[in-house]
Amino acid sequence: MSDAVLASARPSRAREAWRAALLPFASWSGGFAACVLVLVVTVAIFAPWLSPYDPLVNHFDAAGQLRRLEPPSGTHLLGTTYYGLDVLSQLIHGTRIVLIVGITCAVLIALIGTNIGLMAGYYGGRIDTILMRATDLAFGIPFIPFAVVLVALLGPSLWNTIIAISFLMWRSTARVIRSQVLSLRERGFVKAARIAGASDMRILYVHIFPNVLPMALLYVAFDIAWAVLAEASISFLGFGDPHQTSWGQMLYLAYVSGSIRQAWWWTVPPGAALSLFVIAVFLVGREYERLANPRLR
Amino acid sequence: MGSRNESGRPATRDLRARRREVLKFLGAFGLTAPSAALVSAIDGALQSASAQAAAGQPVPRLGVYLPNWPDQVELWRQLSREWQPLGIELDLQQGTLDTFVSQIVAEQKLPHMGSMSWGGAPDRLDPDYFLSEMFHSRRTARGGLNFGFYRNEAFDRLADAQRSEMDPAKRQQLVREAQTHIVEDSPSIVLFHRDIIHAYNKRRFSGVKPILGNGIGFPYMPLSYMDITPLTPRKFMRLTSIYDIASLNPFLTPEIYNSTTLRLIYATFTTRDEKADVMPWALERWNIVNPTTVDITLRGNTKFHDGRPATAQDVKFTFDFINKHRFPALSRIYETVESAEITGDLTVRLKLRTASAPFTANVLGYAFLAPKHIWEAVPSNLATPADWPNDKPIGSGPWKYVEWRKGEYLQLAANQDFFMKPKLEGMVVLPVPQMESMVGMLERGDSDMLGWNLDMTLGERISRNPELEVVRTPTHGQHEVRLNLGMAPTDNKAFRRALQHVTDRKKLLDIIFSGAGVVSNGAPITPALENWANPAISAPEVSVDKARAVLRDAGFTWNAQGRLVMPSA
Amino acid sequence: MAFWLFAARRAAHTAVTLVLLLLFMYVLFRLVPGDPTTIMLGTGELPLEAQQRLRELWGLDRPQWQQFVTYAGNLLTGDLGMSFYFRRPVLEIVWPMLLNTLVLMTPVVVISIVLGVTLGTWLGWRRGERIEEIGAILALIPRALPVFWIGIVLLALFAYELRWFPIGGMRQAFFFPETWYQELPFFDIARHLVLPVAAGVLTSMADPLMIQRTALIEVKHEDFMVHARARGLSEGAQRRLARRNAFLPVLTYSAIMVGFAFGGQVLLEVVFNWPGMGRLMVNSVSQRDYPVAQATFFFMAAAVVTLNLLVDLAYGWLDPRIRHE
Repeated sequence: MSDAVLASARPSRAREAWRAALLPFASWSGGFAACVLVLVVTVAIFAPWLSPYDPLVNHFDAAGQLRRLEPPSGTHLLGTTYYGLDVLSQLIHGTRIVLIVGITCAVLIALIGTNIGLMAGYYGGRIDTILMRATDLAFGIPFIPFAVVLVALLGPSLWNTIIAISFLMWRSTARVIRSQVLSLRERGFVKAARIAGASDMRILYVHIFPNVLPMALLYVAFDIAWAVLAEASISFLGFGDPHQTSWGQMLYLAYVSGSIRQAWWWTVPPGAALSLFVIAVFLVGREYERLANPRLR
Repeated sequence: MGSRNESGRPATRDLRARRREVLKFLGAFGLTAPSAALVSAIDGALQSASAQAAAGQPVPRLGVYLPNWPDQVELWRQLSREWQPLGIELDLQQGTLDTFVSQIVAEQKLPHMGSMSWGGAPDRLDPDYFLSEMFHSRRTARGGLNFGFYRNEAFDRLADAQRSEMDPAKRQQLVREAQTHIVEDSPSIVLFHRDIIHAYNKRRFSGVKPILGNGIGFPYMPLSYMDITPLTPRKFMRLTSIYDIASLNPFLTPEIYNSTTLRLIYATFTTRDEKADVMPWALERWNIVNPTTVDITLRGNTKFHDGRPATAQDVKFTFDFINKHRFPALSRIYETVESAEITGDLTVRLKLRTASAPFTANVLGYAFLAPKHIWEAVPSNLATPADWPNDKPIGSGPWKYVEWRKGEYLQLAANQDFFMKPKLEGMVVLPVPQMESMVGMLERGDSDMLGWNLDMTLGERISRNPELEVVRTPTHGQHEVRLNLGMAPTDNKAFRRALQHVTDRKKLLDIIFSGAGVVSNGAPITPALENWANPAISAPEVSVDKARAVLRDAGFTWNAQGRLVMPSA
Repeated sequence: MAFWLFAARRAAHTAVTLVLLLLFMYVLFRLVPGDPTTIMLGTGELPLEAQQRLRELWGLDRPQWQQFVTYAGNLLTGDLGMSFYFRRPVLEIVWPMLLNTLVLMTPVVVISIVLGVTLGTWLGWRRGERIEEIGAILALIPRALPVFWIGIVLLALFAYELRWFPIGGMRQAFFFPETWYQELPFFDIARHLVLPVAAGVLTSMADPLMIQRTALIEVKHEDFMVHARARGLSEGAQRRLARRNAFLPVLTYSAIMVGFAFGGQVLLEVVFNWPGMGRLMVNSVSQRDYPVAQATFFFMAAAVVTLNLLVDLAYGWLDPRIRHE
């Protein structure tokens, strides 16, 4: 099976990349999700040009009064916040935070988790013991309280949030990949490769890795989603970076100002955007899961 | 990303400070053997980093430490913009309140300035707190609240004199004069005194009593609950608060919310009346014999909640007990009262170590009557009686303890034997950590009174509900920006005064708290405390031109980029 | 290798993990600036001299290693120490919160797993059909919503608008039943439970569901399933067979879920004002109440690690090859 995957990957890199990029459009849900992601990325890149105002500037009306908690209007399409900031601009700038957090964390988590899982599962013995102890350790630490400790230790900032998320979340990836490798290790094609004299590295990354790829991808997708949700959770509890207009931070401010039920224009957009983004990641992830694992087709 | 990473120096400084902490810590474990050398090396680096603003050089980015609360973040967003015309930039560093206390109060690592808000605890009504505690040079020691290192001998003399002046009129003069120094020297930018906004259900209860600094719902001043009268068959009131208490032992806890709540059960000797003047509470009267001798007389027929009568024996026991065990939370008492001797069935003579003008308010108003028969029986195997759980608190106050479920509720019942009878049959205090739920409970009728700082906008929304009434009360608490006088350029008086000129207090109060409050006159004592505020003082005029003129006169210049440049030596 | 030997080795590993964890947390908490007495120093409530005296009383003035040795020694005798913040034995503080948390999390975990596995099997079995496509997406949607957001929306709808349920807390301080069903035992707690449990299940259900679905799809193509089909087993019997064989991944996941349940869900607890372990953990960290923070972290860690051990042992029992590492 792994060889089949490799063979189909031969023809041309460019064409393959193109095909991979178009893959989510194979189904309506995947296509929709891919469109959402493309939209988010575009908005994030062009945020300064797209957003009508600076997201951190207070707006005053003609009489010099702060535009506090104004419902949507022509000047402020999504209304204003408690301190008279433009919600739409905040929402648009929030896309950047979402991408930074999601991608950075997912890459870190996937790198750490997959490799630890592969090594532990394949080598077994002492290496496995040590790596699995580390995983157990990471599993034993509750996520949000740990993030609170880090914030108290290092101060609230976006990077510290990313560190807190990545520092713990590789654990599930590592464990799942390991258990897959454990059963793959005993499969015929691995034994055959070993008899044929393939090096450990080759067996690991050429023969075993493609077979754990579906799970790894599933977890990367989950991880982007997880990381974005985790950032929102930390921000919602008030431990986020107060100078970043992340969607979680917006929800937190709406919540602590006691206007979450009244100022729907302030609370619904970040909540909805967050959910839409996470769903889109899940759905696109699903499509790639099919590519990587023919059985799921 | 945030301003933290863009600035080279303060960030490194921060990092170094942290590394130093780590090393000290590892050293404590014996992991880095002679860590002293390392620590001192890092200290050296730290010093050179703080000697930033050399003569003739552009003013560096000013480090600001602020708690990561939304109102503080917004405040500094405003100040960053307002101060820009002076050609200065800010480096905002935020942390939790705990970090603020440990880094700035305990470790004395204030950057150029620190932002804080001080609540309206009852003992801060006396001017001694905001003068001596915050600005006396004695309090520049570690753990003191003069963490901006303000030192002025003339001010110190006045602060000391007012503390021991027993004649109110003379004391008023001294207090007012002391404030002129603060305004002149500007060790702090006092911004405003935010109003306390509480709400209650007026269909169910009447007779609320707003008190300065306490509103209608805080437990700080027990008088505020006494006249609340039920209008429906339900005779107990449900009150929400953001905090829960941590302990039932009044000897343990120094924290204001917990200690004042317990003092509803354990009556203090004196308390504050509606006008925030001192009035007798467990006492019938007191008599200042001379500045270090005070006679106090207990009310006759005082009973503890278990029915045993309270006598001078219990009063003496309480002071002896505190002096013997030196409870940290009650340090104010054992540091002031030297001894107590019984002079009659209900009278006790207190000998003070030093004359203390705030004695009747802050010591007799903080000390409480403890029953001798209970506390002398506390098991002796404890390190301190403060560790005793005291599961069934027995006091002599207006409220009797019924039940406490941690995180759920504290139930109190009216003590009909108290000289002033509560009109309610009982109270239930519900800890609700989220403002959102607190407001929701009041609106739905799940609670009868909201005893936490509401915001003006929320208050307006609540007041549209025909069942609810919102009550606004001024406070003596304050928001301030403390400047570090041990570091350039905030050690320069002209620079500090220039900042005062570009700080529009009214506008800030409008934006941050919808204008609900009293703008500061520049001194740390609110104009609402007419007795102590100095009417001759007013906050510096808001004017960028004035500010620039002040700076120019002091030798500051601006470079081609508009950046402020230090005066040349 | 004999199973018991394997089991003993794994148990030893678990013990080592717990000790490492304890040490890690001990060091971590003490790296955070400030100690419990600094918090009391607060905004001027405690002068420095008094703070110093507190430090002596609480044993914080001794070198770190001595404190750790004392702590570890006490722990071995089952003494978790005294809470600095509450000045009561840690167990007295943690125990009621743990019970509260279990009251909330048991239904969340049980319902999530049962619903997740059932729906996951069903969806996996219907692989490729339109209904599966829609079902999978529907299951993902609540998973994509932050749990606090779901909580807020549920509260807005069912507590504030419709007023069917209370807006938070675990029970009403004074609840006077008015009708017969309100007099049922636990009625008050039950009505307080509905919304937080619903929010918890909506977000926790998707993971077991997706895992079960993926595992089932994989199993469907295994030889024994092809064989079963060929033998003409009924559809129901086939599905049961597949479900049994696809259960391992979900079992692993469930163990983790149960373990974490002991730590509570701080976001649910905040939104629904539930007095549980999650909030206790976060508060004790903020208050630098090390003994309580350590105990809560440790309880949760012990639960996760122990359940994990059980899963490992189950694997070892089922698949003897794993024992020979």
